[in-house]
Amino acid sequence: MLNNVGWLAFYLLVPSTLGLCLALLVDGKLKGEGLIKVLIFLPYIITPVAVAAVWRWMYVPSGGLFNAVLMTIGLGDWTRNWLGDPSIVNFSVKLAALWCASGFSFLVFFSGLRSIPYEYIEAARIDGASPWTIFWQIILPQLWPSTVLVLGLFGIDAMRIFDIVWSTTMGGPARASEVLATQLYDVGFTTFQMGMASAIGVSQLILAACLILPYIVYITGRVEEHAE
Amino acid sequence: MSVAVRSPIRPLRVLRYATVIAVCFVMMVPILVAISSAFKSPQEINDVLALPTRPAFDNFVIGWNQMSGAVLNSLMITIPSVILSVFIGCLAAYPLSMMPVRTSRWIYFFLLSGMFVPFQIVQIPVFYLARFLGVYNTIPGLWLVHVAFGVPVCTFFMRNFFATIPRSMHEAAQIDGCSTAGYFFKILLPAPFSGIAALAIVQSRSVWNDLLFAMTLTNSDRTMPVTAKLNGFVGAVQVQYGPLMASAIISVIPMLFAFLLFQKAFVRGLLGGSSK
Repeated sequence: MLNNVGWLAFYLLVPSTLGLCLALLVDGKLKGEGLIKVLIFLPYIITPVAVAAVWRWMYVPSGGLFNAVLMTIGLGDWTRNWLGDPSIVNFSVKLAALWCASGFSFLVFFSGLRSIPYEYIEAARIDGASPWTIFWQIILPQLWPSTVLVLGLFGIDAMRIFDIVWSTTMGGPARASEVLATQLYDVGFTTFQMGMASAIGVSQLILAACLILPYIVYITGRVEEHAE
Repeated sequence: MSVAVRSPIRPLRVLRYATVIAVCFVMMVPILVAISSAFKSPQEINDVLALPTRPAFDNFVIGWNQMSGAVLNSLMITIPSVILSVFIGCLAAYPLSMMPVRTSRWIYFFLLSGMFVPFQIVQIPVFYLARFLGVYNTIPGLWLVHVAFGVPVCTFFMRNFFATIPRSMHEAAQIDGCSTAGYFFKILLPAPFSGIAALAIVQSRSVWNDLLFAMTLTNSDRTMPVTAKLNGFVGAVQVQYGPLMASAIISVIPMLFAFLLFQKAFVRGLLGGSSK
């Protein structure tokens, strides 16, 4: 349960910020923009189970990519049992999730940036505004709809995170990376305590409702605004 | 004055390119690792940083033998559920787009709730319901679940598309003696065809990638889709990473192919569907 909150904080902050940074970086007249977009977005298409398979392989303590790279560049002390150590397993799984999720936020912010009329930025620049001011005063407010979309969907993803946790660690080691959804599956379908599992489901619903209801009300309001 | 401000600063631009290339490379690393490992022989596999000396296809042969049935199952699950949910979504979106917003407000509320509620909450009821209906461990059982979860998204999405079609079109069709059903099938459906394509692609992705329901509702090779099957290998005690990487690649190829083919539609569907 605490892990769910951790995932929520993580999802709301990290992939969305990274996506925004990437979008700002790529926006503008870069050559090969189409290819860059595809490359950054690609991880989002990949089945979470396959993502988990690849990342598990990279995290293998002996012979995995992470430790091999650390050894080669002389940071042998930094090698870790990435998925086996309860104190870091959550970071390891989140890194894998970050890899897929930032593609999505990148794409949303990128198309959001595209829809900002160039004249706004041009005018501000002529008036002598610094890039920093332009970002906070013009770009960010204009990106508000994209931000709402990204944060909303990520928040909901964080509440129902299952695939990636289940297939990288199954909630382990010693339940250190467990979230409500994996716990529910474990209780319900491994030990067949259906009543207990349903109780977990209900608590998850309550937790999710706190977050999702305001979002739904907000979106419904937007639909109405849009139609009138 | 303005000219001076606009003149590009060269070193900054070079730096930007360098950063972008570095970012792209980092994003690609896991994919490259997967591909290179899939081509390695068991002796080479523990040396991650080296490229395979001689591309070996053995892993792919093993992977294909393990996965081919599951790929077929996934196709059998994905295609009908996407067609059904998009069709039902269109049917539902039509009256919704004609309704005044004040009346349809509550319908939206329920649709959106259906879209955003975590699936796990219904996992156990769905499990019992599927057993009760006798569709547990059958492909049509998965159709039912995926259609049920796909319809709200599709309805919401299609309603946005239908709403952009001018009302006068409907009136003109009525004057010409077109029935409501005729209007729907002959005019409304063909008009946002690109929208339907986009929706279908996005839906395929979510059905194809689903693990939760696949694990809940299937337990044999006859029905198991790629996600559940692959998950079985990932969690195995003695993992052979070469064949595993090959299987993982096989399991994502159909979706990757669809994405690259319909990239524009995909992006559009992803943004249009949820952002309004």
